[in-house]
Amino acid sequence: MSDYQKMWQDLGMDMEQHDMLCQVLPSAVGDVFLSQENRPKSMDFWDLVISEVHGIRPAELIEEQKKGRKVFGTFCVYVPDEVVVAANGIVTGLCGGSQFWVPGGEAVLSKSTCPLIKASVGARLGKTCPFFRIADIYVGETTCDGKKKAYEILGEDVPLYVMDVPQMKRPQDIIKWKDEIATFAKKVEEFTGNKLTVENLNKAIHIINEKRKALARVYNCRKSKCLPISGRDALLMMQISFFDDPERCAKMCNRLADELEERIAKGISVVPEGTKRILVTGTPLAVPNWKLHNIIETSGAAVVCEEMCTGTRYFENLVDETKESLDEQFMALSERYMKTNCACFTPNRGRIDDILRMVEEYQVDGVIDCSLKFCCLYDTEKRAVSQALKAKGVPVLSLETDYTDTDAEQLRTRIGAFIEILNG
Amino acid sequence: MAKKFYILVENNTQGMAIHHLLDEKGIENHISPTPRLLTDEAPCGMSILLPHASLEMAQACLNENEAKYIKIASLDDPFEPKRDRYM
Ligand code: SF4
Ligand code: SF4
Repeated sequence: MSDYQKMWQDLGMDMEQHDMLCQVLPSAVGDVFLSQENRPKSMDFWDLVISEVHGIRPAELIEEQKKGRKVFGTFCVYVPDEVVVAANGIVTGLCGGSQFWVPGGEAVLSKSTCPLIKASVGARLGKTCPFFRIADIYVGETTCDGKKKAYEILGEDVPLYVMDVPQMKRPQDIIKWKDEIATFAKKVEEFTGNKLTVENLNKAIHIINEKRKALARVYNCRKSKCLPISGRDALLMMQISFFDDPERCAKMCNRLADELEERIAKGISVVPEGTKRILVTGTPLAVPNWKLHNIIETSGAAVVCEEMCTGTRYFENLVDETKESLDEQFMALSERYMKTNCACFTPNRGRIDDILRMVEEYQVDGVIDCSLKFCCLYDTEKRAVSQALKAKGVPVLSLETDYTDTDAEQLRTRIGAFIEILNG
Repeated sequence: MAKKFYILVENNTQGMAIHHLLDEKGIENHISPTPRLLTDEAPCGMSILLPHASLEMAQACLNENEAKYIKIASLDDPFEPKRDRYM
């Protein structure tokens, strides 16, 4: 990626440290993705993006900034992309998924903070990720305690706006979130210099809905007994959708879905018949966190669905496109976003219902419920997830991990034993 | 896992042109990050990965079409799916 050296220098990045991070990419991508046989041809787009992950998209963002557009960095699927897109802004997901950034976060955060937060803070403060350098403003949210405190620290270094996410899902909370979206819209207007109108917001709602529909098409193909794509490839597609241009993302996902549908019609599967089908649920898997999927899929099973924010929670439910005033549109946005079942809410029975539904829809043989270390919310919900699945006779394995490689062997042993049980 | 071949290129425009050309001729190839062992020989972060079976056809196709690239390099067994070295 040395043809991007000048861009990284101009972004004020720590070139030496960044080079160390880049060193690991080729072998990790090779081991996890390129070693697979019979991958869908359309994965070439995501292979290109990941090969040049700190080059191609950052360069595009900088070009857009030169035209006066603003880049908003976000950390949660509750932040409504539609509002930013309507004001001609650009959204880029910023959640950190690499161990490389964790020590930088640990320097300023409590040790007992989850690795996703540590990595996100470390990526900014360590100056080793172009996306964290490019974003003109970060948008945080009051979801978990760890993030709330981390935003205070990030806010010392970069403009930061925090959205106040409700903790419950009563009718008054949906109204509260609508009002919060309206207040955010004012901030976006002020920051971009562009006014929101019914027309531009409806257009943005449509764009993001089309992206959701395209992602859903790919996931629908994973419901087939003839599995046309690996979990690793689907995860890569999903992770990259957080920072790609939404219209191109929809186009590429639709292209992939066309190929997957054709594969199903021809009976082309990436795994032998009878391979056990796993649903993975829990905390998000931010790029380049591929450990869990890789271990499962090199232990003889296949991941067919992710009930997580880097999965179904990102695309399920559409926003009503028929509203005729900004107030009604904000309400429609609130209604859609408040259907996302995150462990930050209480109660969170909706997540259990989603998992049970997806077990049926994706013809799942077993569930792996995995949370990041120090994520007390998802860790606590494991009990309810496990009870509900056991009551339905669905085997479940609960795990906790972080971004290090050191527990890989232990994970292989536990996941291998689980798959052996599924194989009977 | 057998030997793998990498078409090293100057930039991703060159790389994508080769990818499309080989695709058009039905020659198996994949977009890959340039392996670290080869980055001294190529400035671009992406290269085109060829399985052994595609090598001769790819070479002939590149020559025939006068495609621009730096060189084709090879590596023994670059992939270890169970190496568990993540990023
Ligand atoms: S898990 Fe919760 S806090 Fe994290 S991205 Fe999802 S909705 Fe947001
Ligand atoms: S994984 Fe848990 S602790 Fe970490 S950011 Fe998400 S909700 Fe917060």
